[in-house]
Amino acid sequence: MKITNFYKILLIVAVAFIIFPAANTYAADNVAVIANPGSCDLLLHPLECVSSGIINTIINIAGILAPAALRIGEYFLNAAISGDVLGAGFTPDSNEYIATGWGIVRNLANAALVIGLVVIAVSIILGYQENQAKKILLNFIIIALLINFTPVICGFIIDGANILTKSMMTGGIDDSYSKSISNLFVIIGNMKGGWIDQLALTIVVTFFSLFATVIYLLYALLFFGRIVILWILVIVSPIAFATKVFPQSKYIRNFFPSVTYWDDWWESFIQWCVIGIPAGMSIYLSNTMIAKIASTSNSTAATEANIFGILIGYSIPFIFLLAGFFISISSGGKVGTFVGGVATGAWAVSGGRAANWGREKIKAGGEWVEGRTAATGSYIKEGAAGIAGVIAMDKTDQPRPLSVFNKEDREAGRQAISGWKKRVVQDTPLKYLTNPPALEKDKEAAMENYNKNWNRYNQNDRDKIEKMLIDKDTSLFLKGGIDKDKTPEENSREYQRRLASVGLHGGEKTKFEAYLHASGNTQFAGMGGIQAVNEWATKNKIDAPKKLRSMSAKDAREKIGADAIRQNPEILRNMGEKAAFNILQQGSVEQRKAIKEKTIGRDNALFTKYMQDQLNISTDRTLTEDQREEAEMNYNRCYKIAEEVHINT
Amino acid sequence: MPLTKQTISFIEEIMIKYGLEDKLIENDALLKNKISGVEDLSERAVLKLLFGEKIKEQEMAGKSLEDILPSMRLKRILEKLVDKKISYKDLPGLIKSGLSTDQSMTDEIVKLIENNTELHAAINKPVENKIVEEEITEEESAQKIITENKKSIGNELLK
Repeated sequence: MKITNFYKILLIVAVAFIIFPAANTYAADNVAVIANPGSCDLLLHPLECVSSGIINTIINIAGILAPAALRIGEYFLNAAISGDVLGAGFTPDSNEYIATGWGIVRNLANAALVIGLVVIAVSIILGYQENQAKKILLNFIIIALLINFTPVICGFIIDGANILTKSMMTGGIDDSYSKSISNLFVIIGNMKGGWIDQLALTIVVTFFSLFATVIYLLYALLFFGRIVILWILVIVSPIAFATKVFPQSKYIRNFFPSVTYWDDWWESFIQWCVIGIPAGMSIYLSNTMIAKIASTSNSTAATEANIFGILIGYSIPFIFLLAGFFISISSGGKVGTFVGGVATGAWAVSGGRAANWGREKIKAGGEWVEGRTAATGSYIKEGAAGIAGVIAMDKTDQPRPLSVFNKEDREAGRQAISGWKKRVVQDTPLKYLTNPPALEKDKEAAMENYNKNWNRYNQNDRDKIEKMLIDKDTSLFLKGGIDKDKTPEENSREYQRRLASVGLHGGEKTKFEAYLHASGNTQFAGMGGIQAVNEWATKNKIDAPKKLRSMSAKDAREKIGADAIRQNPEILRNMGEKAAFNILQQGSVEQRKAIKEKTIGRDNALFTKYMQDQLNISTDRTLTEDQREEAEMNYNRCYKIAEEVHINT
Repeated sequence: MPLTKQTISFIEEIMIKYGLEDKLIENDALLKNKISGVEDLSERAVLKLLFGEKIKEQEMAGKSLEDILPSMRLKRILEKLVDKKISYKDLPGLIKSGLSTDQSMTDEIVKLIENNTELHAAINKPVENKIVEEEITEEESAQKIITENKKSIGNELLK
């Protein structure tokens, strides 16, 4: 015979009646004692008897599980803060995991230092960065010695933190709270107020107990995790110490990721050491409060009326514990991020905030994906062309309007522009034979559409779009402000407005690009000509000479136009000789002409005056040695450029 | 192929030996001051171009450096020789017309050139693959400036 759900429920209720008889009472140490709700005549009051039995069953199950869960939490936390865990060894002598792992890592670190020693020796022999090499050598010797004592150094710091932590947690966690919860279930079972009140109180007390259990488990996790992570940090400590010798560079960082690099290791180590102190203090204070509340509630018998009072009383130390936990992890930086993530998840599950937590995770995931996309460069693919494409290609008869702020739409816009350009190139000969004005009409229509769509955006959105365009292609943004049908004054005003916008919205790199662009467009950059450009650069804190000197040769060739060379003397004065050579070899005809004119050609007066000034400074004994050296370097750089021009033109 | 610094020095040596640029230098006090005591002849050549006031005056008058300086004319001849656009037998005629020298001076200069090992090495050096690059002039790039509407940055891309 097929057993239906109804029979299953009936069977469960029957079994429950056998295990928890409605009229019987029994007690155990920590197990809830469900009281007799009164005599129940099954024949006269069958419904009351059944409902009473069900309620009693629920109360009994909750009365066993809730204190038991709480007790598990107490056990775990007691175990985590016991001397066995807090007193765990951190030296190879007292801990075999550390002995094995640390030995391997120390040998690797010593091998790395040997290679470093060879590099330093070669540097000193060849005289390459000799002073730097000698400085490193001193650090090298100190670190090479310290590497062999890292467990002792780490153990000293850990012991200091542990002494403070242990002093606050002597005696462990008091079990008076779980006993009080058991008593509350007894009172609930004996209540005469009706099954709805009993059920409501059972749910409240159960959730309260689970909440307390989660807090205890979080603390237990924190203390267990702390020990394991400190072991790992001690094991990798030789490598972290060794990295202290190497110069700071992103390549070194890539080679030694995360806690194997000194900065990260030290930050994590200190945070994990001290995290136990605020946590221990929270546990200590909360424990004292619980003991106090328990002694008070024992002296005044718990009744139906004061169940909520007792719960509120107990909630204070637990809220205190929770606050202490979050304070502990928030003071721990990276530690906090790790444990905080676990805690947020646990709290979300236990506290019913799962939906919010999930949303946060999805958001975080989305940001990560966006970040990766930007990093891999696919963002560039739909750059300024995508934005312009959206504005130009958006049609009112489409199912939905395209948006500049939508990445997919921008990609579609870019594709549209790309396709349109390709079509123009492919179709040009034929179309011009058959229908010459067709292409012009296409272009005019697209431009008209662009202007119409642009006007649909409000000022706020236009500002946002401008900022996006500045980020994607600064030169294009500035060039877009020049209109042949406008007067030079009008063009200058618009160009200056855009330049100011770059100053406001742009990053360091963007501003420098704008500086190079404006250097070639001094007629628009301000009525003060090149002076206006340089004033703008000063106002926006662009260290143009330094940036020009550090530009790669390829960048210089691609980004410094002939007009910029002609109009801004700062550019040639500060350009590196390699950049000049690259332009002379591979630059455009006009770039080469501009360099020649301004260095050895007819228009070199400013260049030679600068060289003469630098020569005078370099021999002026009233100035400092640094100033004279810098001037000499400037003179030599200019001379080298002139020499390259002479040889290559 | 660009000439080496040694060849530039060699050209300068010829200029000094035969006094081909003396007039330009003698009348230029600043330049005389600049090149006096300069031992590296290639440096002398660069300083002439940088600080020669008389040279600049003539440039301002519309002359090119090749019109003004015999050393620049000789440089062009030697560049052609290295690039194998001319041969040694073309030298006498080109030197005579380019440097406006008499026959004996021309012969001596040709002989010096023929005996220059640096030039021999440059001529016999295998031709490297030159980087072929599209020469984009500023005029061409200027044509790319979109001018239809000051708001229309997209026009730049629509072109």
